[in-house]
Formats: sequence, C-alpha cells, structure tokens
Amino acid sequence: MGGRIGLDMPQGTVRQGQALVGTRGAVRYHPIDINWPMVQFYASVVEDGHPGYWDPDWARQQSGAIQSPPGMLMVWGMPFDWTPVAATNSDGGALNIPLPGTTIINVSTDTEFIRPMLVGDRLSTQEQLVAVSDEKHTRLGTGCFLTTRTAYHNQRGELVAIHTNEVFRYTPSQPAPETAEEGPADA
Amino acid sequence: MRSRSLPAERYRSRRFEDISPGADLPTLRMPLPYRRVIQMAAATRDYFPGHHEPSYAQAQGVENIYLNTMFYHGLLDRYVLEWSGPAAFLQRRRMHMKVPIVAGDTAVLDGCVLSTDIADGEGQVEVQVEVKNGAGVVCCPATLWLLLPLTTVP
Repeated sequence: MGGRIGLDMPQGTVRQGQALVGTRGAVRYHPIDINWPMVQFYASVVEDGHPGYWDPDWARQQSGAIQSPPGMLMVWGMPFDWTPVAATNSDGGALNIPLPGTTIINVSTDTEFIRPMLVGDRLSTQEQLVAVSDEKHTRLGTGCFLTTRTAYHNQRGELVAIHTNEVFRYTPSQPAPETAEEGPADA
Repeated sequence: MRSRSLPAERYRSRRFEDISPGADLPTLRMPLPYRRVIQMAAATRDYFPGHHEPSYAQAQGVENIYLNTMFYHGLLDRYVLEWSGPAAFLQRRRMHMKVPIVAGDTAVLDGCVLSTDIADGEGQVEVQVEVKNGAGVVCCPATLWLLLPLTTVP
C-alpha cells in the first residue's frame, strides 16, 4: 500500500473540468438513519458532553429526540464501500470531475444549518459544482480548487443544511519543497 | 423546530444579554495521539487514506496522517456550544484549513466574540476561533454564528 498516491479519479484538462461548472448531480438518498450510537461515538472523540447528544430526557424535552451534532452533517451522507444490493460509491461528486491531479485535500467549508437533525431522520443530498479554479501552485503541489455546494434534506423534504466545500485536487510536488510558505489554499 | 426554549437548570446556558463583543472564550487544548485521529476517521466513516496511512499522507506532501474535516467541525462546534450552553443553535460555521494538523500534535483553540445582533426575536452571536497546532501556527481560522433565545423581550 505504501507509496501509492493515485485515487480512482477521471483525468482531464483544467478546461474540461471548468466546462462542468454549474452541473448538478442526482439526488442521493443515504442508507442510514441518524442514530444515537454513532452520535455518541463522534461526540466522545472530541469529548463533547452536550446534553442533546447524551441525555435523552433533556433532548426529548428540547427537540423531541436525541440531536445529531452539526459536525456530523457530512457523516450522514457518507456512502458504504459495499452493500448487497448495489454499489453506492459510484457517484463521487467532486471526485468524478475530469481534471489533472492525483490526490485531494480538503481546504474550506462553509455550512448553514436551517433546522436540527434528529435521531431517526434520514438525509438526502444533491451536489452542484459551483467553481473550478485555474491551475495554482501551493506548497503541496500543483492543481485546481473545486467548490461544490450540497443541499441536505430530511425524509420530510425539509431543508436541513447547505454545505459549501472547497477541495484542492493536485499532483504533489516531487519532492515537497521545504521553503514554500503557502498553505494548501494560499495559492 | 429549533431548540429555542431555555434548558433545564442543570445545563446552564449563557444569556444573550450577558454576551458582549470582544469577550474571550477560554483556551481549549486537545492532544491528538494516533488513537484520536483514527477514531475520528472511523466515527465519521471517512476512510480517505490521508487520515489513517502515514505513507499516503507523506506522498501527499504532509508529514503524517492529519485531522479530517469533520474533526475540525466537531471540535469547533463543541468549543462554541460548550461556551454558550446547549440552548444555542449553530446557524453557520465557516472554516479554512490552511495547514494540516498531524497525529502527535496538539490542537489549541482560542476564540472571541466578534459581534452580537438581534434578528427575528433571537440573539445572534458571531464568534471567531483560531485552531492552532502545538507550535502556535494558526492552522484553521473559523467563524461561527450562534442563535440564542432572548430572555427579555426587546
């Protein structure tokens, strides 16, 4: 495993990637309900004692059910690697854009939360590619910044959150320069 | 429905009326052994190899496995909601991961209140947070906006 760098992403030119700006992916329905054990596991890793995640009586009184931490928004949209009925990993969103670059690193997020996510809810997502930058050089390598915007709805069709994400898709410098002072996003 | 009512006494929340721009949040330090970095990859089902395979992270140009996006989300949200108390609703979070924070390091959070406002019968608080590494480099600046119930009618 060591040393491999290529992810399974379609290769193309910057111009080919930029031509797809504005396109929307299909609505994806995610396979798992928001559930308390996963909420507890996540909260425990960052030592978050919020009663909405741990105290069912308090949570019921406040919001009707145990709450999902807002930081788990993206978790509820993570595909399984495998299911018995169908591959769920086929729509990789931003990863499916033809561009140069062999790997990715996430750069920035901007998330607006409209209503709480509660245990028992099940989310769907729809992603839109909103920007592909020209090629930039950073201390990690050369590549493009991709910005996507994803709308999250619950099973009642209510808008839960709008998540804007910027990822750097790049080819690492060989070797990584030690003197560059720019961060991944500071092109 | 957002949780707007005041919580039970045992989980105290800050009163919006007591929050002023310029107020500092207490510093939070979180050590990041491999165990915590990898647990978060599992807790978020984020098996991108940069978060669990050191050789992959190094091939990317990063010295070791590094915190994933949802780690920052969870840490930032905990930081501001612990300060505000659980009656607050996180309305928006914006963050920029400028430098990866790697396993073996420590995340250090500092924050301060940038502004307060009243809109639609709720109090809005804008908090600026810096996530630094153990060497004091600002790795992830962030801004979070909270909604708090008003305890007095404006």
